[in-house]
Amino acid sequence: MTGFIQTKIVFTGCVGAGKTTAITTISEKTPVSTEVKPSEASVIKRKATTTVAMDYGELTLEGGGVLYLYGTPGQRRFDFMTDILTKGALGLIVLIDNTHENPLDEMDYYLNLNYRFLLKSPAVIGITHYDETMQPSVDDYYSALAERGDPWPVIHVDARSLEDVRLLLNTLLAILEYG
Amino acid sequence: MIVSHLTIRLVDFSESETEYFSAILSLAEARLQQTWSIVTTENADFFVLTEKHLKESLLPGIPVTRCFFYDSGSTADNNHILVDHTKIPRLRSLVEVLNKAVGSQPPETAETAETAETAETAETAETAETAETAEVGHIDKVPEDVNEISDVPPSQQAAYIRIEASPPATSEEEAIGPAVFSPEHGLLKAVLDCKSVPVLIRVNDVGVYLDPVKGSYYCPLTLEQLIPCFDRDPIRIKPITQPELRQVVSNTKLSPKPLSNLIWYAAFKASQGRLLLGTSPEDVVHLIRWPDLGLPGCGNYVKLAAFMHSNTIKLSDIPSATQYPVEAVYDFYNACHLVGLIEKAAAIELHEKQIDLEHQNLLRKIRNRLKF
Repeated sequence: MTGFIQTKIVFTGCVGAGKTTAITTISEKTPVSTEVKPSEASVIKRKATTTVAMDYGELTLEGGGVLYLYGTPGQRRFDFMTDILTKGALGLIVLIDNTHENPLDEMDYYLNLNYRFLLKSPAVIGITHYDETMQPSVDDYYSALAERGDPWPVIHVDARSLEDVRLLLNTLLAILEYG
Repeated sequence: MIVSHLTIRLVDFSESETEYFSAILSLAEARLQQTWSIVTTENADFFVLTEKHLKESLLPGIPVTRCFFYDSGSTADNNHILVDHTKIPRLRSLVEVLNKAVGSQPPETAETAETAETAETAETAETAETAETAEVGHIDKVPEDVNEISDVPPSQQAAYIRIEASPPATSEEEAIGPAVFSPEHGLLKAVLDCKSVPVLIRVNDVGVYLDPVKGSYYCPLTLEQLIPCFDRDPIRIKPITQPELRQVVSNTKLSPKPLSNLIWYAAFKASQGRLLLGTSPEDVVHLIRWPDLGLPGCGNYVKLAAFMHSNTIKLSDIPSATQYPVEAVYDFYNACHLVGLIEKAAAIELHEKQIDLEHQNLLRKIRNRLKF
């Protein structure tokens, strides 16, 4: 054991929301990605390839520590991976594709899936493809969160934008510090 | 004690003096950090008395620490004037003193305050003189002034103010000054005023279509490009119908944008470190919902937003708790307030997070890493 800090943040969310892209954008090393042709019908319609095990990226911290960035698979048959990946994580970034058929339900699904983890750890909701459609609006997401009693911030982001991914992570850190 | 509304009783004022003082106070409203009103009841938070009460030590049942004195007959510059019948007083000095008096010594009830009558009000006025808004007027030091005019016992040296008579201000805006943010100009005011029907707002060559019912606006320019319009006059506002708006949107292919984003950003940029009119630094506030952190500049305020979202706290305590400059806190607060994200509360509620040193270091290291 080196004694260096090793910690992680997990990106989760629906297929096509940009989890792999976000990790690729921020990771300092070429991320490990386990993309294959999808098998679920709903996924085939949306993407040529999808993640089956996990995405993985890294950020080296001063003093030699590492922040690991994990992305969960989008296909629901791999949901069992969620518990494994979130174990010991600092927090969760939930990415939702706003062009999805029912994005609010998707958010609901992933918050429920991570219910136990979120009892003690924070989440930030990132809405992608918001430039393509603003319905539902950020307000709608907040209303849905309010109904659930969840306090998480909602940010519309472009997963390809380094600034936007940084904003997601910085917001998560702010909640860890003050929330 | 949080005070959001204070009362002033005018003692032995004639009808015309009362009327005049009321007019002055009414004008001053725009800069008051508290809401003040003149009352005729026996008890009040502050009292304004004629000079004879000071000279004759006649303060029946009134705590001297909460008195201001008024000399209606003074005309010379070096006289002690609060309000002069013949000239316009330096209104802003009055406001500064009243606000400072509240800030440095929250009023107690008349019954309990009587026992606390000391010369501390001299400090109040001295402090007021050094207040950051030095350009707004002159407030003379109390001790010399008081001693000059009468043999007032030290225990009764109240907040005595000399406010020099000065030429009338050329405009209300000039009189009010810049210390408080009041969105009364340009695009921001027009947007805030637009409540029911769609309008086209023109500031110079820039046109912005507002649909207040749907909470949208249409404009080809970015928020940053609109900055010069936020508090610039003149503006022209033309009401339009929904079909007209639909036609314009169809022709121009403009996309709807959230009106709240325009208000938030305009207020954020136009505030310039000033606190919103009607808000006191002593107000206890809570951020009920996160603002759109994706708005330009808003990403720098995530820590402030997280703190205000988790805590209910006095505005004046936020800068020290978060290390954000007070001006930045005010800009952020004003913007959030104008889009309805702020709730004022009666009591402070802090949720101090216990983070061990190792965890703090970890967060700091990640944050530092994200800067690159």
